[in-house]
Amino acid sequence: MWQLTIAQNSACTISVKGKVMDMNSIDALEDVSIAVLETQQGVLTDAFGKFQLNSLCKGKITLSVSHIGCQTQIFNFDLQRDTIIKIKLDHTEVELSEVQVTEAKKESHSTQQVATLETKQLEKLRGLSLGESLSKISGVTTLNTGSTISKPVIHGLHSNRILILNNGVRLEGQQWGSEHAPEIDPFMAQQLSVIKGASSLQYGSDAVGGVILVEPNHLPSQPGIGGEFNFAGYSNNAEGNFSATLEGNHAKVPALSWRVQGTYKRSGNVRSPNYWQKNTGVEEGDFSVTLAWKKENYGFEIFYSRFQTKLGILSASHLGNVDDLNSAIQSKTPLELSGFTYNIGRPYQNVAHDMLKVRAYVKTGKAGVLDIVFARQFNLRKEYDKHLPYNNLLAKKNLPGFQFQIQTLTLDLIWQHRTIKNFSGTIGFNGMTQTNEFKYGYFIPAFWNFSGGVFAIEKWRKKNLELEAGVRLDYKWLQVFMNHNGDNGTYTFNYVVPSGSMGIEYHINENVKWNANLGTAWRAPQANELFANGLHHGAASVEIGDKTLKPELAYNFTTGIQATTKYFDANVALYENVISHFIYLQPVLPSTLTIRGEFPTYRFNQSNVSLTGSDIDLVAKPIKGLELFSKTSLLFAYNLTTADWQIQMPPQRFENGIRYTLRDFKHIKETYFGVSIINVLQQKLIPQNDTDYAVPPKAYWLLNFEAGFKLQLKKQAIHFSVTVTNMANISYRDYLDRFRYFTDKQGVNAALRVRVPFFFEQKVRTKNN
Amino acid sequence: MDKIKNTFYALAALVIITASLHSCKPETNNCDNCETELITTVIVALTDSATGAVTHFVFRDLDGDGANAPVQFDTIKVLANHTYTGSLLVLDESKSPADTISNEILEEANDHQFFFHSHDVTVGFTYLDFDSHAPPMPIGLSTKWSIGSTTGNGKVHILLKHQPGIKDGNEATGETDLDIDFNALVQ
Repeated sequence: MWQLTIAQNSACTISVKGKVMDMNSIDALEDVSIAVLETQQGVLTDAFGKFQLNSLCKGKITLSVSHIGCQTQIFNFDLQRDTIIKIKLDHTEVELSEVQVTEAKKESHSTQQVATLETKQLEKLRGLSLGESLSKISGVTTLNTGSTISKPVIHGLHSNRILILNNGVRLEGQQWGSEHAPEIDPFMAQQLSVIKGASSLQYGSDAVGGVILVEPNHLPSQPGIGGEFNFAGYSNNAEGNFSATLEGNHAKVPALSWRVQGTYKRSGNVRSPNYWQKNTGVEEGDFSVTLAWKKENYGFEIFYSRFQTKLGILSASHLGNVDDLNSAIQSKTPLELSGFTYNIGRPYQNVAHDMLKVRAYVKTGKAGVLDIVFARQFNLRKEYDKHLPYNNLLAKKNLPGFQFQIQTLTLDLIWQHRTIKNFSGTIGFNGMTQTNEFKYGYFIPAFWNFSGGVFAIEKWRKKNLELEAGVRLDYKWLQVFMNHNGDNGTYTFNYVVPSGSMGIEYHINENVKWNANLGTAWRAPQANELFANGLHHGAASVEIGDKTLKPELAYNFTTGIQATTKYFDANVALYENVISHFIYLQPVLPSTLTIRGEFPTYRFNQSNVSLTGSDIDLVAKPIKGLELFSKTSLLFAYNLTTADWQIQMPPQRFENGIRYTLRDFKHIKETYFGVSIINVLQQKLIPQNDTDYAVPPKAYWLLNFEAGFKLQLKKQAIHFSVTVTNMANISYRDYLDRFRYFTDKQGVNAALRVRVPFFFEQKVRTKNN
Repeated sequence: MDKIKNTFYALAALVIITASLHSCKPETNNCDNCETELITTVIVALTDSATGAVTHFVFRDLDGDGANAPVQFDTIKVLANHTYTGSLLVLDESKSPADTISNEILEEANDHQFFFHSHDVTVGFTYLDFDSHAPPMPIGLSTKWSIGSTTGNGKVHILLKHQPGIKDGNEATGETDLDIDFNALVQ
């Protein structure tokens, strides 16, 4: 029998406060996960074991309490008023029962700078790409190639210097290109986290800039069928996004849970304040399937996802040679314009990414939990040039100009031991093999590689102090097969590099904590950096690789203070990232003479650079419901080798705003509205003899508006939100947009989003029934 | 415990089998069946209207728009006060036999146009071939070159623009297929 549960009723203002302790030692337990199964609200306990859940409804609720090393506890109670509860967890006994077990919990990153976007914030970002969504976090910006391709930049670093974990598996697409966006559907995520700075040993040593975690919701453990329907529509480019999730669990087979999720997106040409950007439509279709079997002492999970997108690329950006580029830059509007259409013509990209993940965990007696993840990823990228072949027969075949395909297999073995005398820790192995092939035009060679790393991280925690230290050793083998320009050589590269990190977190009092982390990371040169040799049409430049490049080594220090008080929240972080042998494109003279004329030429070069910066988040709450917020991202990127500023780094960025939350009114709840102003300065920290084609764009400011509410119709909640970006319809260009030479950015864009969560509880039949 | 062990072994076996099946050496014959197109060579044939003598001037860059330097880049030598009929031959010599790109340009004449300029030498260029636009627009595979009376060194600039559906007689329009600045000597 299925029945719609009363998800929330009219009195949803109740709070539950509490404290979680160890049953035996009476120590407060930090990072215990407390979740309300009915509403999917969740919190973690703080260093004092405390937690608070707000906006709960009257009626029966089910709390799920889970912590590493002990089994998940389920509490049912009838909630009538604000409640304080004490929970004691047992870490010693391993007793089988009918309730769910803890999975190996993710490593927490308390000594590092971590920022997270959760359900509420993500709700306002639905329909945006991963890169655009993350740029709401201070210190995170985007690198764009026009309006359709956007990549996240953390503290000035991007592409292969950032590791993206897609549901626990490192994303291995074609991340080396600056016009290659991450192959991820953000609708899949219930939580997006960014670990800023290099030192995430358990994910890989090559996260020189940081790590992005894309995490779906936990699979349901309550019998029934639930899910969510999402719609997001945008005015500027007539974009429509539809996403749906369906998930379930059955009372008769409580170990089995499943989820199916799919997204479809279609958008047309983007409108800048004064014109349409020709050929900037996108069509995307993604889906994922998850099946999990969870038992007390072991469990399995199979996850398959497919991402498929067709991205239009601004017509006016594909050029012949440097003269064409100069005439494009001199023109105030793109040299090719059009009206509105959903059609996508040449040039465009067609990208598909498949991932299959098989995960298993086994409790290794009382000592800990072993987690095994195997994944296969296959990425197929086709880039269609604007230019059709001269030969009409060939043109009819509509072949891509480039086709890249990369297959990646990864295996992760991670063993987490239970807390022994204040020590907790993880040891693990990550292995990877890749095969890269290309067809049609040459840009990067075929290669294969194997890499493996072992790591150990230990944490010591007592009262308000936590210390952490880790080491890692990586081996990488890369073999490249050249078949271009008369070079048929096979080149082999080997790297063995250790890395390490240490950190501290100290709770000054209940409201203020301080942390600091010192870490190293390294990144081997990529095949394109070693072997690129040819013309990059979009950029109208020749890129030349260098076989003698050394690995990049980063030494990263971050420190921050987080304060949370009744009237004021603050999060101030400082960082210093010194990278030796930093690889970047350096302009070289003379330019290359080709049959199409002259092209500016860039060679992959190495320098020592220093990236210094600060992320400052402040929130003032003078009266109930009112929030004044301010976010600042500062970065000073200096090239130590040339003793000058480093090119292509994000300029200083500020966001200031105000948000007001209204009291609930009948069926309308959680109503808020706000405005914010984003201010981006002109990048003046550029090299003196900058060889850029155009000076960095002027400073700009954008006015944004947001509003939303929840409509509670008896048993059903519907979430509505509206955002308007660039409300003043300002014409502007951004320094980190590779198409800033050709076009202004998007004008005013209003979005409407609707989210409808649902859950049909399965009533467990009793004998009397 | 046996159950757990067995599960673990089964999974490990699965992983190893899958890994050994799939981790393979890349295929490097990536251009067996791809018919890429490249322009490597431009030959300017000048026929002296007075004498009928034909001279050839060659630009040859075997990697086309690749980063390597051209292997042949002739100086165009002409006589003062002479008139020539110029014809252009555009080839892809990276293939065997060489592909004649100028035939394809002629087929798509409505989307292509050559442009000519001279610097420091005086050459008057007149188009001799036209496409099927109404009114017809010039192509430039066949031209008349009228050389001025001054002798000396200079440049002859030949430009081919691809203007699919947007051909307008303007050399700033469209994409550059060819852009060659020949050294020229008027004797």
